[in-house]
Amino acid sequence: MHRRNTSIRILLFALPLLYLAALFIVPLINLFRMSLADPSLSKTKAQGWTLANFGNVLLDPVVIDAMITTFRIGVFVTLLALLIGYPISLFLTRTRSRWRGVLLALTLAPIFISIVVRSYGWIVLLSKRGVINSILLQLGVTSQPLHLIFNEFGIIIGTAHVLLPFMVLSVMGSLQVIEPSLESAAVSLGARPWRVFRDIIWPLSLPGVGAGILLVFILAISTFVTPMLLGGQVVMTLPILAFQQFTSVFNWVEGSTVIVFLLVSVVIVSIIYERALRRKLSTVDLSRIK
Amino acid sequence: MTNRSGTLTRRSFLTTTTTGVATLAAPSIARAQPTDLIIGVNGGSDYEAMYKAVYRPFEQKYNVRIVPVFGDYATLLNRVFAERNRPTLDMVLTFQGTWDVGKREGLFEKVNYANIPHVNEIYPFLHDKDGYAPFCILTAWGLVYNEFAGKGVAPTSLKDLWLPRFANQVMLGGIYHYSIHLPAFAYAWTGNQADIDTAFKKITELMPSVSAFYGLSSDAQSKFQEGVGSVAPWFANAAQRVRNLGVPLRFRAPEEGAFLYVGGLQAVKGTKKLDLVEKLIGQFYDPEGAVDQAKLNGYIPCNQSVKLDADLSAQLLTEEQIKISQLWDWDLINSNQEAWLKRWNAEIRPLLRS
Repeated sequence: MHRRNTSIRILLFALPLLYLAALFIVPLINLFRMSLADPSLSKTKAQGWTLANFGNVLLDPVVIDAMITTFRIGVFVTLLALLIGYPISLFLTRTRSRWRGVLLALTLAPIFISIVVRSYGWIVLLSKRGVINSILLQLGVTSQPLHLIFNEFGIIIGTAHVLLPFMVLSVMGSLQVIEPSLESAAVSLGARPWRVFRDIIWPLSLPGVGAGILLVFILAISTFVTPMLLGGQVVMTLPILAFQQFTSVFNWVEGSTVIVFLLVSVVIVSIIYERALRRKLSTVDLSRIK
Repeated sequence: MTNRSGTLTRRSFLTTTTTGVATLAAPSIARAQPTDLIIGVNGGSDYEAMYKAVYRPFEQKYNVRIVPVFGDYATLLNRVFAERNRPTLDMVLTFQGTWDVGKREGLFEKVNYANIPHVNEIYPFLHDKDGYAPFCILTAWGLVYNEFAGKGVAPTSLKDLWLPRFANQVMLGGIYHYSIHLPAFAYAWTGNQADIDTAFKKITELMPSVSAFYGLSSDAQSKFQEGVGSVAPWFANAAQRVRNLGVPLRFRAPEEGAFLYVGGLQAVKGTKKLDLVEKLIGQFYDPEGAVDQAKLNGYIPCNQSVKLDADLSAQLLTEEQIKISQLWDWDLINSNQEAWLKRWNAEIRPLLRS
């Protein structure tokens, strides 16, 4: 019986490991190998070894510019998702309305709709002849259609919409475990709502906020379809740059190098962020709650 | 079936059963299971129209089932690259640019021209001198404009895009098309496709008039429909498809001559169905299918003997216009496009107002 249980445990461990190895680790190794290949031998086969590809990428002003743009978009998307997502999470956690389920479903809806459909929806809304510009023109708010799309603004709006559910779910996870008696106690001691929020809710929700920020930021800088469709090929991000190399000039080596560069950057940023967050959480002054 | 006493004997039972089974099975034996032919092609309305005009008649004629694998040209060629030791596609759609790359990399099989129906009736420039599959898709690249654009005065030359009456209305192909825009503009301004410096200089001058870059055909189509721009260097077939949807687009061959854009289905190296590949290519040259392709998809018939009605012919390209059209120098493009892309990203892309 004991041996049988051990076999089942090994099987349960081996299956996901196998899955991960086949669909994640092997392609990742291939990608790293391709990024270290010598493009003078072949641009579509991993032949030879060189580190020069990374040197070339780091010295290329277009790549550096794309990296700055990618990270800038990531930061703005994350901020926007947090600004919109936090109040929604708070409301959904606290409300006793019978519409709560509907509101939650509406918030999570972007996950269930194809990313291409969503992006074209934004094009219809934000383009020159789109709904928003038409309303603004009719109301006389502006005399010329505003450039709301095919630029960074459009990408930030579209991507924040796509990633909002990730922020909401992360923050809700933290808010739901806050002991309601803490707030009741603070109120009974005369704390105003803002003080309750600042000294109790916000500090205790930080783990969820931190996780949401990291999740949304990583997804935002690696997203491809939304910047491709809403950026109008004007905004160059690292995933688009890699895509160009694969599809426009069939240079798999440089495309892989750009992706590895992005991947390593994400890992470094994540480690720095995670350490900073841990430090912050360890210094949260919970004594103020007392 | 029964003996004299009316009871069923073993012999009569076996005879009856065998006859019945044979009768039921006869049609399927006579008509064997169709053979699958797996082809990498563009999807959407292009495929739907092509299915009606070419693939369905081919399936019926040769008892074949076409199994499409959808993607854009580059994605499809990347798939063939990735599967080069274990191909899963029998044929892949290429345009001349990806065809050149695939040919150079040894991704395709040569075909026997003698087995391709109607091959002697096609334009000579569609043949491949090295024995690879001839092109079977032909369209023109030139000026596409909304009939009401430019104060009602249609552009006649590629150089007209620089005129003030098209300010803020010009759309250019971005990363999917820079490599054909550059030599075409170089040719329009200097008569020499290789004068790329002039092309970059002229596009830089044009950028204040450019309202958007377009991507794939679907993107250009939606941008024309949204009114993002009203004139663009684009393809006759794409303009015809959008026109079929009710958008008042027209194609015009520029006075410098339109550029011919050719594409075709190549046999993927390692396919075991070369005979079907050859027959399918021939199906594209079938006169009836070619007319349907022109009407539905806006492709110019490759078969010279096919005559279109005057209206349709004017919307695509007349025989006379084909004769004075240009072909892109793909050797020049393929050997330089990586450098051009870097330059485009650095010099042209940032100039678009956003």
